[in-house]
Amino acid sequence: MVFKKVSLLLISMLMSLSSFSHEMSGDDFIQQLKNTGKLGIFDTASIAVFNNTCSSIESTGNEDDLKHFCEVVVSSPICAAVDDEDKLQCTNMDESRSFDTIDFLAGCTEGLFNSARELLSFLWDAMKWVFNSVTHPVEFAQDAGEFAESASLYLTTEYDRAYDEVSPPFKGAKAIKEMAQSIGSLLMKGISDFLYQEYQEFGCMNFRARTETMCFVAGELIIPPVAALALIKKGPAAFKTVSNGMKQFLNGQRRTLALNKRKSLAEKSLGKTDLPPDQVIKIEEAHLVGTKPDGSMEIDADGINPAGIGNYTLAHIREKARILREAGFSSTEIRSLMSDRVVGVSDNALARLFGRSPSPPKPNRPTLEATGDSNTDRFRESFNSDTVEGDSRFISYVDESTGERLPGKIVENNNGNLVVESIAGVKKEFPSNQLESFRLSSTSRDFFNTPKPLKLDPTGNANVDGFRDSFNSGKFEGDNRFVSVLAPSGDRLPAKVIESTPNRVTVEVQGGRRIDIDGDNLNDVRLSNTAINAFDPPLVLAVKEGGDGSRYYNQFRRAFYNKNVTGDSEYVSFIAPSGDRLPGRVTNIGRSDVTITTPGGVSLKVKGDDLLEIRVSSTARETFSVRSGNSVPGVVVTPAAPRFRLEVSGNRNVDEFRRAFNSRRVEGDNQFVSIPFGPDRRPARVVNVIGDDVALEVLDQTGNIRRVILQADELNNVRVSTSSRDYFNGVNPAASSAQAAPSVGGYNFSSKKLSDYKSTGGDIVEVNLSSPSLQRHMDDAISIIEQRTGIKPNPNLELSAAQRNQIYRVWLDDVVGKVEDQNFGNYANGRQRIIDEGGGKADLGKILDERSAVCRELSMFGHVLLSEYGLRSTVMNGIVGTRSAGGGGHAWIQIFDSKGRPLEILDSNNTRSIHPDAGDYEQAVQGLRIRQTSDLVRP
Amino acid sequence: MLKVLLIFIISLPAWAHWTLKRDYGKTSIFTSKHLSRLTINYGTTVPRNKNMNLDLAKYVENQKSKMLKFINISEWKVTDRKHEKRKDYTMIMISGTYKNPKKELIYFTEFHYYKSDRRLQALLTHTIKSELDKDNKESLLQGFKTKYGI
Repeated sequence: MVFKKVSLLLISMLMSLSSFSHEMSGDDFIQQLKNTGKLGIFDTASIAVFNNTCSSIESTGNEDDLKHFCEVVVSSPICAAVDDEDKLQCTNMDESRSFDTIDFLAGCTEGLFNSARELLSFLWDAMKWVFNSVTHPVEFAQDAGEFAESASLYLTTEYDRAYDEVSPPFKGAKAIKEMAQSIGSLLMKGISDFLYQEYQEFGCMNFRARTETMCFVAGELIIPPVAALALIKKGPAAFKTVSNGMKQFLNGQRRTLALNKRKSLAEKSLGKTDLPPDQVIKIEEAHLVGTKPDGSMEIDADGINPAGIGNYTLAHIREKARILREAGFSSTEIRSLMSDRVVGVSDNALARLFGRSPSPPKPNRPTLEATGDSNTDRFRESFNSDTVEGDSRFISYVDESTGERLPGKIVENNNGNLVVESIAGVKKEFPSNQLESFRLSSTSRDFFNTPKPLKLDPTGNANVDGFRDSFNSGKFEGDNRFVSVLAPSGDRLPAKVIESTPNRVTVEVQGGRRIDIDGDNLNDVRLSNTAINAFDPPLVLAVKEGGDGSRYYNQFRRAFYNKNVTGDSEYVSFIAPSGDRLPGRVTNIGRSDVTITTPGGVSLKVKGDDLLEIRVSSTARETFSVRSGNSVPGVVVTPAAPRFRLEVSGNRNVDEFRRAFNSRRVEGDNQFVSIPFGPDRRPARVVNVIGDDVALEVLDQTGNIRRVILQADELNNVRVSTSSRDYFNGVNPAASSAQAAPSVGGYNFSSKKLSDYKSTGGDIVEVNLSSPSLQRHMDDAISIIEQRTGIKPNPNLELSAAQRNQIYRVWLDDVVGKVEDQNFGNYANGRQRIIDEGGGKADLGKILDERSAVCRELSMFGHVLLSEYGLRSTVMNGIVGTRSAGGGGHAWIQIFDSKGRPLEILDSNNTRSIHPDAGDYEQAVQGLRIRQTSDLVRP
Repeated sequence: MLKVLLIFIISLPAWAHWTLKRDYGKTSIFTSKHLSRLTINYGTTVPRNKNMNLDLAKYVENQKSKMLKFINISEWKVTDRKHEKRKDYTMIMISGTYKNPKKELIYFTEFHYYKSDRRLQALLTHTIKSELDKDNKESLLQGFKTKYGI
């Protein structure tokens, strides 16, 4: 019995303890509510109102806490403007907890949330965004992405499972609901957060008022789905630019609240209960006299402080009274509305209006007489009646020092002495006896009311400031037209400035869409090299390979690529519009053209295919030197050294070469010669004549092609050779005295465009055409290509785009996998070991043998292989992924047509794909910087 | 011709095992008599060598779990993985459990097939493990592999 009594006592003590309240911080209080699940999804905004109002609170730890929370919110100053009908009902805070977000969104929007198909697609987009946002750019990102696509199977599976389980009608919409709840909640939270930022009173509203407001916002912002995705990605910041509809709606909500409040106050003041809406509107209008459109108050009365109760001018008060009188209120009612401060008038002002206090002191100033000039007299009337306000402030006056009539704005009225602000912002006080030239001026009004040109401040970031300089100066020229802008989705887009005004720019994004950017959004614009490349890709001139002075063409092309023409490179020869090759001097290099000045001083712009005809020219240099010398007396010009010449020998074959050499035109059959090489004479082919030097390819005793340069006396032993011609043209090579290229167990290279190469990228990898390993891999690759495509190697082929594509595909699908590095980063099995063992040098064939090729070796192998199909190419190297965090060095193959114009790009192991041009490749690798145009040189 | 016919005949048992339930364009759903649900997706890609292996599968699991949470699929766990490099394609199999939006425990097996320019992904699910096991045989997917050239 005693035990039972003690137990009851303890229970009652515990119960009473549980209702004891204790003080805790606002943050802890909210956390406690969250932990107990008492707050619904709408309550983020209410929490914000609570936090702005309350730093600590008494908590009981039970259901009363939610009521306390609600009471703090509704009694906050922010909620004072909210009509009681719309305010949170603190006795019923549970509504939002059982809220179905998807039903709600479906009810408010069209399309997305009412279409299972659109919602499925939207969910998949959101899932892909999750993947992209948590996946670091890694080498295998493409593979990872492909693998992660399997997540879509779950989306379909679970949708299908739910579809089977729900009852008609609208099975699709019902099925998708369960899956979309998570995203629906995120969207609702995003909208709720957005509303709180734009419209704080939202946190004070009850369930009905909130749903009405949110429904409108959902309908405005959640369509199209891309906006919904942006809201999930970036939260309320995604809606930096709120649509006009949204602004109007939120302002309308505010106005409704304001009218309700004013109606309530007026009815109380007048002792009425049913003021008609038109009278309420007029009361609000009277209340707003002295308020600027942006909600701030005009500076009046004392000339210093904002207008407000106790600080309105007499004109303000009169205007308020006029509005009320016209609305049908009697003088008594007007006095009542004013004395109760329903329209914002103080007792003192009321006394002034109704003459119950001493009149304000009469100003001691002259009265201005009428002149007959309309604008002058209108100013004088407002001055005489002490109502220099509104449009009366905008005047023009004659500056005594210059006699000019200037616009001005009256900013102060010191008992008749007027302070006038000039266009330049300079203020000057005019005594009341110096106002003869003053008259009203609409020009002045327009000037001062026109928004001041926006000036963007520098930030220290070169690209941001580059844009800002152009914007501030209104000049977008050259590369400064190309910018990046922040799209509503949060993505940065390349764009081109089409038009600018002092407060706005219009840009065109890719695809031709135009966007106006103004206000704060201008802060997100900056100059962009990506945009330059997107809208105006720089021209890259392909490296010219083989004979005919390619060195001089390439010297110019390199200079063009580097946009740096100095020294000898600036003297060139080019094809003039007349078709003649003329000497010239490069005076300017553009992105896709050059300006060349002729010795006669004529400047020509050369572009397009004509650029391919430009080459560095010693003749041009000499021409300009001589001209320069002639034009400057006293300057000694060193005459150009006479060219080296070979004497006639009497031997026909010898002299044929000598004559060709002396004219520096070794062409046709004359390029096929024989030269002493080692113990005997070997067939050779002239590749190039460089000044007095001759570059040749010579077939050595082991059947390898070697590259040699002969100079001066060495040229005496060169003679034209038909055997050589037959060998290099592939005619009956067995008949040639030369030994055929090796074919035992290896591929017999037939392309005349090939010789040995070495890669200069870091450690040396050599392409040795006589390497049995390389030959074996060539055999394999060519056999696979023939098997798959039926195309046989022939260096004279001119392949169609489709045929090229077939070969590229076999290369990527079936050849690369046989030789590429399977153990990247594994030293024991890797290419680095092979290179180290070779003392920093390795044979390409050996690397292929050990399946250790990385991008560089794959590209080298591809280059050699493609050459056998008549495809000209070069191995390029540089940095890929410059727009992402995971960028790095890479090599790839650039294919050219027979005229040296770039064709496709082949990436063997990064994107493992074919790209139609550099722009496409740049996109695929997320940014590209070419380090050098070719990774290969001939040793 | 004979080869094609032979493949077709060999594939018949696999085809016969699955009944097309619903077609969602690139994705189709089949069911078996054991009520397993087989969701198949086939796609083509740029031809390239794919480095699909278990390291990659494990790397993606974390991301995939986060993706699935977005559609109310929770506790997605992998209990078994298998990777085989075959003649000209790669096979990866992973299996485990998850809770669907209705909080039902679902047993699943994913089969992935990757060739240079092709991809076939299959998801086999069931609420009862013993029933799933009856359909959880790669040979029963042969028909799909043949159809899509894997």
